[in-house]
Amino acid sequence: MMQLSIGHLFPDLMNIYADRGNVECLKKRSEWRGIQVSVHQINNEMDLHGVHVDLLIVGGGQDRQQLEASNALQGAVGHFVKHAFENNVVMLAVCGGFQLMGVRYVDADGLEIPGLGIFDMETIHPGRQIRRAVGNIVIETQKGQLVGYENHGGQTYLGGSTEPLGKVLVGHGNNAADDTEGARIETAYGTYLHGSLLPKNPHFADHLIHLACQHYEPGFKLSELDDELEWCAHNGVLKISGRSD
Amino acid sequence: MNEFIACLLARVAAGILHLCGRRGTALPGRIAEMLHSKYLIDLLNQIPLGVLLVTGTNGKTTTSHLLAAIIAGSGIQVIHNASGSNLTRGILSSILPHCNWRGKLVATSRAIGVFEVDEAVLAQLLPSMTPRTLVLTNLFRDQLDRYGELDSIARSWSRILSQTEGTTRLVFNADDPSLAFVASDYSGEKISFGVANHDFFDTEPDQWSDSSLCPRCSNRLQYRYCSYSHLGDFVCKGCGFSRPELSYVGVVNEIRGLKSSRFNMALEQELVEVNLPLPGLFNIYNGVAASCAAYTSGLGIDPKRIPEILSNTSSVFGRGETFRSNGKVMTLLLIKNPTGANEVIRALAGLGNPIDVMILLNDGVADGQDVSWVWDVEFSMLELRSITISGRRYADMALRLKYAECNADEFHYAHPTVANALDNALSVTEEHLYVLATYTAMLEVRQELVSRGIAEEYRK
Repeated sequence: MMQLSIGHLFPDLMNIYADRGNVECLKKRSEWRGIQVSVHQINNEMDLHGVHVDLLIVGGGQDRQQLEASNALQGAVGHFVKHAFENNVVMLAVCGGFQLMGVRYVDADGLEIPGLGIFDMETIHPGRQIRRAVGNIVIETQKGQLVGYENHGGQTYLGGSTEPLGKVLVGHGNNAADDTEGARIETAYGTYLHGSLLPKNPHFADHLIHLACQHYEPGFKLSELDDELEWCAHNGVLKISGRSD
Repeated sequence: MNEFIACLLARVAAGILHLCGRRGTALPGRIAEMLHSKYLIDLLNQIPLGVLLVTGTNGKTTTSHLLAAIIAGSGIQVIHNASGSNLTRGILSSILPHCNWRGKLVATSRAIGVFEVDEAVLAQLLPSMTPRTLVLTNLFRDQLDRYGELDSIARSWSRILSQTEGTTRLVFNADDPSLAFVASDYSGEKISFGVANHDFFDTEPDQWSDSSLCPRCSNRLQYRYCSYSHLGDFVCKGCGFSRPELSYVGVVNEIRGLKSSRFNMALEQELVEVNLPLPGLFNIYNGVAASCAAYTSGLGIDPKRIPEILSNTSSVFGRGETFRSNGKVMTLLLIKNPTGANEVIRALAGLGNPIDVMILLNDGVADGQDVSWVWDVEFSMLELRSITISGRRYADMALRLKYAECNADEFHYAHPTVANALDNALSVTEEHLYVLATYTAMLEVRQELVSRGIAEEYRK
């Protein structure tokens, strides 16, 4: 039987935008297919020796919590995440968690917070007087359209070696200068989309599960699920964003 | 002259709304505000005994309602925004009926204002007016799209308080680390309140709690006990910041699910026991906040009368209101953020048997346009008989319940009118329907109940 281990990175620090739904979604969609799932909390208070994960998930947090998370990434947790990335663990980093996976984040007070540098990118907060990027968002990716809700002050700029996750159709995306949204490199994905993202983008959730399973069994096929509700919620966001046919 | 025209046109609007069968909780005030931007401040400063303000994330409406009831019980005239309309226009709308034809306040010399105020609106009132007392109930994450992160609200409250130059009495929930931190900088009179009884509480904050770090040094907080979310007896092992000594403590004796609770409280020499006919632990905080804010108000409130007044209160406007229709009972419960919703779910789960539930999720500005928060609500605690889901974001709600694996014999979701959803929910309900609704959805359901003659218009 297929077994997957999900690492939930900083579940208590990076938790304010309810991105916990992504972990719940991956777990349930795997279990509904008979794939056994265990979820591990990953933070600097855990003994990470011998901990193995197939998927690593991190969400958005408040500025102060993000700074704490960044400090933790300088130590054992950072090694753990980098090691996971080098071993092609499937990663999904959302919002603040996404920003921490870049090279650096400069916060609203001009404080420079180092990131892990998994994505070649940097994020600059232009200051509290500048309007945050807030609202429903629709992006086009290689895996199809993704819908969600963005709420971020930081503006993210990608470097040459990192591709965006998608192109913004409705909303703000990474920054005000181009229409990119998120980032991807190998099997690591970053994005600003909350919602939670995965439940109402079941194709993307399945893509992540599929990648993780293929790691063990090339050619592994996921069985079909009844996704009527998932697409109903997905289409609901398209509709309020003026993108429905 | 300005106030004459502002008041006159606002009244015309209120009259027209009344003829249309609508409550005018905001529009009259909005019109008056447009015509005279300083009108609200002028009126607040005219109230003879001054103003008590209540703000915070949850419990504003109930706390200010209880506070108004206790004060009114001492024969003082209370001007109060009872409907929970808490932006400047809503506060203004609630004062306008107390104005004469020239737009001047007409009140007895023993009149006081008790107003709940939106946490972001507080900065628009202070420092143009100085409240006698400011009550801070709690600070949870709520509508991040509108209010921003918790730290930024706490920062703004600290700034506002520093401008009052210590003349306002600060009544604050000391079990809330962010509020304790806001209060620690304040130079004026401080009254702290909290809730105790270890038997009822855990030592770990709830996993959806959103403020686990010390507000002073960012180390992780430890709890001797935690009442709910991040509220409790906290201490930071890093810098020693801890819960301040409590001026007033509500000692929990019993929580009877959604029905009521019982707590003790010492008001100086007087130990009072309160039977509070309101749901859940969170309302004990509201009862304690109102009691100590009233008692310390300097208005000569007799502590012996507080239990009687509190035991005769009822749930306010959509916060646990109960209605009867065709032999069935209906309880309307506002849900608007993870903490409040989780406490409602916890109280419902405490009922112990499968229940009939209707959930309405809207994404208006007043609801929060980001519906992500439902993923931080532990719906899996619910044991359902039937579930009916509606509202503008019904599919997001239905999806949340699917992943929480909330199974029910009857599972209905669609986006019909509130009237249709209500008919459907009532038809499958055995005895008691629990309606959980976000703010604008709660207003819609209540309006529907009024039009069916089941609920009454809320008094202004």
